[in-house]
Amino acid sequence: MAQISFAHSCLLYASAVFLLCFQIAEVAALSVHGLKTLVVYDKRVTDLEDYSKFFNDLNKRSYELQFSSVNENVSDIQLFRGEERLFDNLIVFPVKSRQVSKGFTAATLLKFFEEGGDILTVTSPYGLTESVRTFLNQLGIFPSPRNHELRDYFEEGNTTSIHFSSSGTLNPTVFSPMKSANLSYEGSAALLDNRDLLIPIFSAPRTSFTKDPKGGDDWTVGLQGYTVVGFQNLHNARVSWVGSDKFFGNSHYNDNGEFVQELAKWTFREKAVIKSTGFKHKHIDGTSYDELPYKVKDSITYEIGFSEWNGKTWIPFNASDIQFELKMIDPYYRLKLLPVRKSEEAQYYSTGNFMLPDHHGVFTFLTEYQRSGLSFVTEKDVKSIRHLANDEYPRSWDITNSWVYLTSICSVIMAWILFVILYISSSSAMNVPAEKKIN
Amino acid sequence: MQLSRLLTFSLVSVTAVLGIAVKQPHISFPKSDKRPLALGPITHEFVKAKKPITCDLPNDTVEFGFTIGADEKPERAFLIVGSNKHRVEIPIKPTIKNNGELSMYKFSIAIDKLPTSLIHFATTEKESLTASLLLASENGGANNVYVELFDLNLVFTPEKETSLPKRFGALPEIHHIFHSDPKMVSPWFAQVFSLAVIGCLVGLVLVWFGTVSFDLRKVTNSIYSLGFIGCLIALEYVFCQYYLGTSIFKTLRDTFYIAGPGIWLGSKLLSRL
Repeated sequence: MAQISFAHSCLLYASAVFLLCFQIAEVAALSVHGLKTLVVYDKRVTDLEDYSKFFNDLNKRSYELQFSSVNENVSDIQLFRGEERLFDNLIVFPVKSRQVSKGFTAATLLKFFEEGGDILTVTSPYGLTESVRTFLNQLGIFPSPRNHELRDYFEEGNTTSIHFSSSGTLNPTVFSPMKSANLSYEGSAALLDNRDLLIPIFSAPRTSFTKDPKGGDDWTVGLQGYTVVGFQNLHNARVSWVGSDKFFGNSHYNDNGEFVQELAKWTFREKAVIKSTGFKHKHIDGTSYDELPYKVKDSITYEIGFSEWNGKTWIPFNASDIQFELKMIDPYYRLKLLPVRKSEEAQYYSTGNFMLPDHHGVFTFLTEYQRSGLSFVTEKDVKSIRHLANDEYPRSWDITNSWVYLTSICSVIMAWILFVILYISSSSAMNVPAEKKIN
Repeated sequence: MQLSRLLTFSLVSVTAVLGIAVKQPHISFPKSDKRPLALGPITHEFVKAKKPITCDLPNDTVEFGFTIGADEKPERAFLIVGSNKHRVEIPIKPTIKNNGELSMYKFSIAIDKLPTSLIHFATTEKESLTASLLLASENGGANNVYVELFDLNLVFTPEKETSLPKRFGALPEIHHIFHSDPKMVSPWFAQVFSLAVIGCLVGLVLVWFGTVSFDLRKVTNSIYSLGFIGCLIALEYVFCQYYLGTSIFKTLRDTFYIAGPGIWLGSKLLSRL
């Protein structure tokens, strides 16, 4: 009986260990980078209890949240220890004071972002600290000044409580327009710079405007204003800005919850992450470049694989707009890549056969897939394409123009030999006796 | 006459949008001799003008105006011009003249002051811009109006080439254009000239045989003449081999081997001629 109990215990223990290992593996695999997250907030503006649903969702997805209030232990708010980045993600809730700490400046935020940290910034008309504003301004996001509120006189009841449908999303990668929800928003709007790295997600309603209730000019009017904006740098780190803290609150979570989670997933790289599984190019008969370097007008083929992160594993990434470029300063070819085969992890795309240009030089074989909302993929390979060797041009007898010259040369040779023979055979001196010739 | 008809129509089209009474809505063209247009009553059910307004000059101006009771002035009045398809628009503020109990609102759409992207959509992509009117006040409720008034077609070529800001997306495909193959004459044409050359050779040989008396035994009886002619033929053979691909070094070596005996045989032969 004791043995059975011991065996049962062992089995339970083994199961628990296996489950733990599985969960650890799942946690580690949730995002393509770490889950250590710092949440910076201001107690005067934000009561964390009001956002418990949002944080619970993050906790369920195994994020390691560390909360730091700007009102106490300001020195604890450090993003770096020396050159080491201490967190993978940063969530900044509205902060009322102008400055936070020496370790939390616009320059630090930029450094954190440039070195691969993802940032979710939430501001409100009454909570936008200078470091966050300057950081956002550097990215081309210009939130309205303090006290400016987004209003819409066409809203029933409270004109600062704006409602819009999630189907109006400007970026289907971040949030699918097929998922319909009526979002509630109460905050401010931002103007955006004209940059392709910016990812507008929701604009303000057409009839809305952003203005200080005490007076002054409008900051935004209608579609000029944006309420949710993303930004992805060339290292694929992401920033999101939302101009409403109440947007994340428990009171609106039934309406906004799904979108908020999708936005967090996008910002912290749980979704819309793609990568290349590698590329190769070769002669159409399968010979590689190393075996036989390319020369002008060779026929070759190029292939590249793409994978997408689905939150658990890498799966084939399907797209119809991936392009390949063959460049030497300017592109000589820009070809649409077509799907050719698929593995468990990757979808492979190919140019099919194409003929190298009739220019020799050092060319770049480039696939640069940059789409708003998706992580950027760049694969390039620099290879030289040689010109024809002197024995690789067509021979003169292949050129009809030369036939007359070849015939002429042959005729001259024959005439010359015949002339010599005739000259010798017609010479009278050949019969003259030797003794007479001496005289 | 036209003016009186316009005024009559405008007065008839006095509109009461519940609380706000928008009077005499009309479109005018201060920089051209086009006649002003009166619009129908502006309500929530206002139907956008069927005919678009056409601007054929880059510096054209279209004005939209109306009158409203001074005590009914909305907090917000904007004419919004933009592209519905691309969700790009610009709000235009009115100039307001107060004249006793009436306030006259005038919105001026200066085409040359529109954003470049709107000019691009309207001229390059031939898209109509839409002008919408927004009149609203806090707690205005049903009095607030947001209606599309008319379309604006820009039918001129911009003085400067317009373009849109750079955005990620697929670019136009490029295929390398190869140099055309070198032109060659047709084979029959080359053959005709080759035959002509052969004809000349045959003619030359016939002339030689006809005019010169020769005895081939003089050649065959002399070892020097046979050797010399053999060297000549061997040299031509070496040159032909070079033409067919033999390296220059082998050609020079073979030429050297043949030239020595050839010179010696030639000198011997010449001394006997």
